Amino acid sequence: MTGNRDFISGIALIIVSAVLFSQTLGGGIILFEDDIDPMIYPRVITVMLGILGAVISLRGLRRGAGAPDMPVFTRRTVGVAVVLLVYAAVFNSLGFALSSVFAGCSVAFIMGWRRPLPLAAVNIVAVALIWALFVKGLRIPLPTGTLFW
Amino acid sequence: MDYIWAAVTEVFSPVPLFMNFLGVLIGMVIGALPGLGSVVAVSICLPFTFGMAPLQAMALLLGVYCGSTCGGSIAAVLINTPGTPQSACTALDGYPLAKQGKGGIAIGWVVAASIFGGIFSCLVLVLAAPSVASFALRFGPLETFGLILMGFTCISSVSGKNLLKGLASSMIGLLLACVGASPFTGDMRFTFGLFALHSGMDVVPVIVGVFALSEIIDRAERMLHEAPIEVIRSNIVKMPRLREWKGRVGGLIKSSIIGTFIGILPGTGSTTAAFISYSEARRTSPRREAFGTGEPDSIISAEAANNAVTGGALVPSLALGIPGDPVTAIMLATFVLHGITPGVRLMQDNPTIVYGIFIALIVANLLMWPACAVTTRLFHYLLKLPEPLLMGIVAVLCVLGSYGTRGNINDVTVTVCVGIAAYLLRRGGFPMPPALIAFVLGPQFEMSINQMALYRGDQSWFSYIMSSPIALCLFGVTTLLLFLPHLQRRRQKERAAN
Repeated sequence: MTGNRDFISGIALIIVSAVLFSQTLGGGIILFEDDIDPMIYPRVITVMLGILGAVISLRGLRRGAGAPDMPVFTRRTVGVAVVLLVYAAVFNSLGFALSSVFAGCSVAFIMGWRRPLPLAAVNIVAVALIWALFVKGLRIPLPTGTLFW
Repeated sequence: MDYIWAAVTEVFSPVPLFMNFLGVLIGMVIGALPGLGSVVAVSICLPFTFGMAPLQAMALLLGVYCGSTCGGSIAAVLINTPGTPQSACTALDGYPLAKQGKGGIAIGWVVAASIFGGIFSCLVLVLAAPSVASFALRFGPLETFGLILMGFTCISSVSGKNLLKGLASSMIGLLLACVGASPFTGDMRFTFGLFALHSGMDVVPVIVGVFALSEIIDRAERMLHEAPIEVIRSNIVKMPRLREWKGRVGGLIKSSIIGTFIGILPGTGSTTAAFISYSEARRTSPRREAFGTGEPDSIISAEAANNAVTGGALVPSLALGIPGDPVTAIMLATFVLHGITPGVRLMQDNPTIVYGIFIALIVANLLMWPACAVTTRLFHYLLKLPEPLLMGIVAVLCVLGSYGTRGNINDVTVTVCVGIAAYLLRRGGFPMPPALIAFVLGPQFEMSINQMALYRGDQSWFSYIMSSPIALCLFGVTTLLLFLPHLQRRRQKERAAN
């Protein structure tokens, strides 16, 4: 799996560096003779990244498949990633309290905690304590939600 | 002397002292929980430092740094599962000793060796950092460029098993640092038309995403593949008596020297120090035959070394502005958040804060003893907390921490996206410390390149580079670091063939 993993990650790096390289082709504004084009530095780095990606993928091809490894995409890892993305998306609209209870319960549920009442209770208490720490202790205002106003 | 006295007064005033102790407690608790570690502990606490004065913030984070390593070792002793990677060697003899009903004694050895190693490295820091800093004043843009380049190469070559992936990780960190306005002309780079990215990526959301969130996603699956934990009960810490140190002091000092020296090298950290020190003790200790059965020499070697790294890692960070490991990278980012510019002039421009850091680190090491006495009784219950519940709450804390930076919802999106990308990179075998350190140093690196181009004037690049012996040495070391792993592999193959 090591060789396959290297091959795939090398190709991914080449694609990412190609996309980023295309972003540097617009050219910067150079006002004075001594000015340095601001796109040269990131352009060089994207080229170096692409080269490294090519070498890594070639090495992966030469190495071939090795011992099997833990899969990258499983129901749990994808589930937790999706929950975090949804959390970020609804953080402002639902507000801190609702979105955080949802996220905390969902992450714990996906990771295997299947007792709903203790799950909800622990998360509600934890979110309340965190709210108190941030709003009352650190005086950092947290979003109250725009969906219900 | 005035600066030192001012620093002593400030560190020992109630609020910074409380922050230091609180940091040690928090670090011990988070460090004891397997799967989190020192970097996650410091990442989680970083957002809480915004409202604090710089020295209070550093006192808290230094306390977390010291406490987390010790906390990880306590988990190693009580459940045979190190809470932090640098505590792995401690489990080899700490757990067997705990199983003999001597858990309190094992933790006592952990605390005593950690305190000694930490304070030893602090003394080296106090003596070495000012000398290195005064030498660093001779650094111009060319020397700064060479130093940062050497730092990247060093970190890439020793983090993880693959130099190419380490370098790729550094490149990714440098590209992340390019997002937003160019520092010289204000041109927008890599914003993809999104207004949210015009101000670039803030360092706190990136740190939280790279280390904390990616760890949570990884733990979601990894916890299924690990054996269930058996917790050994231990209520009190029993510090070793003076007579028990007979024949062990030499090993303690040697381990502290190893840890301090490894901490000074950029890219190496507590884990490397602990393993090297343990191997050395295993080779030379008069009681090496008893290793693996609960021999204190083993615990002393690992613990003195892994805590001695804390002071050593601060030498290049404070004197040169080059972080020695991810935790010191986060601390340098803390300086930036509080309006202090890290770099070669830090000691010159902010002596009170720098001396305050030295003293706060010594105090944090001493506070480990009372903190351990307080937390040891809790650990039995803490280590039994269901991990899924804990991970859910940690995820909320992480997202909230990144939101708290600027009160900007875009930072939350950055944290989650960076966290998912970091998880994919980790699974691809790419080490994360080079990416973070490159992200933190990226703006300074680009600035030095642009300044070089301006300072060079009409000179050729060759004569410009040749004019600086310091830069030539740095480039030489960089070249050596690039080719050293390849040479070592060739030598190993030749040995195997023979």
